[in-house]
Amino acid sequence: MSDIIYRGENGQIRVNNLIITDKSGSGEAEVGANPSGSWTAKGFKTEYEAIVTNTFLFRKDSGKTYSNNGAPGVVQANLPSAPGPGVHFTFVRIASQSFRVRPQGSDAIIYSGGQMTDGEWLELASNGAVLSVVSDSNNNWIATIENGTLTEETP
Amino acid sequence: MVQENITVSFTSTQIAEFNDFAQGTIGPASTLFSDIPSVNKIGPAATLFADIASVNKIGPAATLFTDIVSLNKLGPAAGLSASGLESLLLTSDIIHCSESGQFNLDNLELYDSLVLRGNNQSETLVLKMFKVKVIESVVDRILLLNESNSVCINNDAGGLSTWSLPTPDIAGLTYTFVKTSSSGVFRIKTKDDSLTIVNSSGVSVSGIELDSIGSKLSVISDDSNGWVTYNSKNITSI
Repeated sequence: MSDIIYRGENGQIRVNNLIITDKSGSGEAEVGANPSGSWTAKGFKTEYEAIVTNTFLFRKDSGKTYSNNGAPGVVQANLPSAPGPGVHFTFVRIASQSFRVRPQGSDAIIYSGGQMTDGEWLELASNGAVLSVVSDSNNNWIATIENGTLTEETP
Repeated sequence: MVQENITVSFTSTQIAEFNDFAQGTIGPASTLFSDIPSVNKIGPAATLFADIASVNKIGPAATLFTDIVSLNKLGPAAGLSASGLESLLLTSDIIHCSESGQFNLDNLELYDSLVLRGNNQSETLVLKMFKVKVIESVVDRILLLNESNSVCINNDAGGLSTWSLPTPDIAGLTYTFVKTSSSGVFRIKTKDDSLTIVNSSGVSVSGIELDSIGSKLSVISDDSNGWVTYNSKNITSI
């Protein structure tokens, strides 16, 4: 094993290539503070990807921001099926093409227009439109940020 | 003059000591230390490793450290705790290496500061595959500091539920609220009535209600001005 844990010049404990997970490396884990405190994540970046064709998203993609930059036509981002609470994605429309966010058949989006029909998409219908969603425990995707024009599959 | 023959004499006690020493094998051989049941006080300082009851199988073998239950005061000096690792207690498999060599942690709780960054200060670090905490409640609730960055929803609420923001002793705490129940009244106030929320029009108000399903509010703490709205839709100030 190489030098993955070492001491910084000011006494910090430094770690290369840190994964927070369960023992098997495949399960859930949590980073947090005790109830009277909080912790700051700073200087970090999140993952960004431009998608130009229909794409399936997975739990492991949680935290990503997607755009349709460069898309020649309609692009649909398919959300994972009932992933449990907390999985979240952000979508930004850049190309002047329809950019649709579709939940799976038994899941629905809740946004300022109300609770949508299961399995129906919500489209980012104007350039610069933004939609952020987070999953809950009831097979819903809750819109936490909305900007621009959003259009339902069945208004 | 050349001395050709030297005779050295040993006492019976000295011969016995040599015989005892020969029972262990110390040196570069493959069986190095294999016959020593425990090692205490290794090193130039008398107290170094004094707190380690026994050290078994140290070395390049596959069983490295397998028999050590706990490590205390690991480092070159007893005072290492002043700036670094004070006590690393391995009561279970909380630190382990994956097949690809990553450093894995189970159940990490932070008591001081965690800085995540690249190898130098011009690089950044990617947070990926992370979720946010979703809090569901149909009754009044006081939020905690360590629930910062949560999304709060009122699934199945039928009446009024008031969510109280904690006292913003520090800047940068964030909470997002989304009304997901069409019948419940979703109200957000500060825990301390003397504090206010700056709404999306820049006006300080005592509270905010989410008007309809899908309406939302995101606030961030400002340690001098209370709470500031940075994202909202369909809200009413109260």
